[in-house]
Amino acid sequence: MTMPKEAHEPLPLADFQRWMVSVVTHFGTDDQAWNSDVATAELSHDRALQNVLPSKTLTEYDRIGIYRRMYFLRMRDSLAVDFPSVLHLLGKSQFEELTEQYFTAHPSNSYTLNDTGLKFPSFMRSTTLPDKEFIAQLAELELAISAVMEAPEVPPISAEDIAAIPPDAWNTAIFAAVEAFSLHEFAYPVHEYFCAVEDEQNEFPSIQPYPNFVYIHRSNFHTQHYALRAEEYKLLELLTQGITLGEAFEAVQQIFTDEQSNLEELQARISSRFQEWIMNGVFAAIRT
Amino acid sequence: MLPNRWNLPDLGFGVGLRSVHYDYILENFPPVDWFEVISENYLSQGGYSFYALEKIRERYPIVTHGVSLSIGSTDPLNFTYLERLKRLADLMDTPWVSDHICWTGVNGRNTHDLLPILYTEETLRHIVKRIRTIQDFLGRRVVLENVSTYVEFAASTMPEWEFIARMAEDADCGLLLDVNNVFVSAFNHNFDAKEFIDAIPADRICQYHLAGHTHKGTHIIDTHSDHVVEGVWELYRYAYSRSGGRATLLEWDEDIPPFEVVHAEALKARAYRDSANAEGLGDNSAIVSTQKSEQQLLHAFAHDYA
Repeated sequence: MTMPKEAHEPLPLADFQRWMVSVVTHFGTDDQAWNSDVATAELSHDRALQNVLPSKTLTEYDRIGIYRRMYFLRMRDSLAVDFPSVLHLLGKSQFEELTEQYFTAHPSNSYTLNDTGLKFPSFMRSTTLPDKEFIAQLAELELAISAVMEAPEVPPISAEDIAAIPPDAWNTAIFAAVEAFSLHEFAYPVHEYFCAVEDEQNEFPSIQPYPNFVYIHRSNFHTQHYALRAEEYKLLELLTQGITLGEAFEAVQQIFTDEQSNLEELQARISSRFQEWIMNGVFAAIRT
Repeated sequence: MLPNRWNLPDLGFGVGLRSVHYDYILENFPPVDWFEVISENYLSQGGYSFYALEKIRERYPIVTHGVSLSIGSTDPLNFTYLERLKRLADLMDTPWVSDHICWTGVNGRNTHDLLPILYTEETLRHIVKRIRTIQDFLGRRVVLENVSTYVEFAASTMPEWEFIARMAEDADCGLLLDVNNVFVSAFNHNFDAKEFIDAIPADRICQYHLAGHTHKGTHIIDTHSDHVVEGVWELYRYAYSRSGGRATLLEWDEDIPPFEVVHAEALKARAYRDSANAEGLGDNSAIVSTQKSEQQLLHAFAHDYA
């Protein structure tokens, strides 16, 4: 039951709303939230206390506290869904602590919870955590996977499209990737870590610099992430930048062939991967 | 009892569409009358969610239900959001667009919660003006839902039900009466739930919501995590006896069970309608609506289980 209080002067709507948001989004104790500089700049503690009605079973703090707790859980869960590997790496306690710091620094200003994690990688990079660069890159990978999952569906080139290309036109063909595609180079083995979490493995890569190349792609609404070798990454990067197939192959051969390597082996490998990308539906268009 | 004043359809007994049920629905096309979708989940119009929605739209009526309109906020209306909402509503050909009588944030900061408003003349003028703007912009009837609240304010100058009734009249908008929210707020603030329902203009009710909640002893939280409790069903029956048949929807958002369980819960509403009709509390409009729903079900059965 709500307990009455004496009537008092009207409370401007904007002042009340700014006060309530400042208290609800404060991650400290109830007392800290009600007495924070931001909150008391809108309404003094006494004025706020006068406005919030207690019930027979709940105090003023308890009642506003329901909204405060739900805010924290909602924001934490939104990040936990988007960054399961970061959560795995940090553990629940540290993840929650960073969630509070993150949303204090970057409160949501979007109509959708899907956008709440957009600044999470850069935030992680700004922390003092010893492995912050690894964690930031892991977060970038998870964010990229979410983005591909939500990208518009564009039909890939068909077998008929491929068959229609004259043999002498392949060298100058230019490819465009589907929208549900992205390509990444990481300085740390974050893709290996992500796969280990996803596959519920017990062993994880060490957090030492070691390049990981990966492309993320969605086909028939199934999102996949594939590890690439450096030369495969380079070829895919050049192709999706609009370089002709012939020039891209040439460039990759020049970069990755030296006295120790076998040119034929390299050609066979990247040709095979190229065909795999075509079959997987990575490309949406070919211009000859 | 009155039909709703715009002759918006009684869609029958629907279920809130949730992603965990996409595959079941697309494989089985169960005999549900209609689905309600959370608008914000589909505004980007990409990914599997939107694909599933488009497929489901081919077979079922869809109503969009938002959580980010923030009608009560003192921030300016977000026309980027409204543009996307309009595009979705047009694509789905939704008979109305619904959201909540609340605010979600201020100064550009979104709490992603349905925050309680001050029931004052200032708030009333502010919200009425915004509803009219939004209805003009969307070109569709806006239907607003009463929310569950956990706090009341001394600065409020009228009860929630009076505020809602005046808001609906002044803005000429529809109402989505969430019976569970009435039940929850009535417990939390110790008012008479029937007094609330009696004050709501029945001809402006376009839709009902039903859901489960979590009783914490000292208060109730609107969690949508369980079956509808008997007290809420009785309130639904009471509200129906005033309004007649309106599109009725079951929401289940946490600990979501298999689709058949959710659908069966939604269909319990029919029994409460029937019992009200048997006691002479129903009227022709309600009976017609029920028959229409049965025809829709039969059609769905014939079509989907052939």
